Amino acid sequence: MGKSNNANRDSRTRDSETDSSGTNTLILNHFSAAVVFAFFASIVFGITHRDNTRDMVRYGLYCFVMFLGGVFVAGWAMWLLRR
Amino acid sequence: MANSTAEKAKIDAAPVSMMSVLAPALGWLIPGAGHMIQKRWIRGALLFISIVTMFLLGLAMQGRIYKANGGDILDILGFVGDVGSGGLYLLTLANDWGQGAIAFATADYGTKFMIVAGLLNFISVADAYHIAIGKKQ
Repeated sequence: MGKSNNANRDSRTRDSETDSSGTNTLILNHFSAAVVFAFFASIVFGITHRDNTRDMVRYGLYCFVMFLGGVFVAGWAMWLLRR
Repeated sequence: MANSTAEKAKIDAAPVSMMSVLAPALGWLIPGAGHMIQKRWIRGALLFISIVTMFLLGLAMQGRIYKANGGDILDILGFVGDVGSGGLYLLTLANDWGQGAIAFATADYGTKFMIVAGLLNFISVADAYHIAIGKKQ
């Protein structure tokens, strides 16, 4: 049990791993991958979907909040379904 | 209402200019370049940073790049998404990067990051075109 917990903690906290060919691989957990995704996608959405700077910033923030809100809603929905 | 209809007709009737061809083409090849060539420096730089970073993160996560194929529909759609990255996609193919590593669970995130980077670049290309034809400032 303890060993398993340690293994889980290690897999959550490490940020890179080297495979047999020596290639370094970036390891992101699901949440941090979702945050990075939301951040960059929101920037592009903000710039391309609005006409002036103020609206771009507002829409970009709106998209970011919606992306993250969606992550939390989906997370809680899956938690409820699992019970 | 009448004003917007007249404006739309004017845009529809706009002749194909050099910029309306060059900006999307350059924007596809180098993300954000379609905006930069039209002197939207900050927008272009932000698009470049966002799209290139997403693509490189995908590669760093050992994501898989899709090649032209006629097989499974999801593989075809993956290829369409990847092609959107333009120069990044060609560079990746030329260097034989993006082979994917089944050993890592994050490789799947990486594959999706690269597809989304390409799709975001398609949106960016369309935006550059709209600026070129005067539909957007």
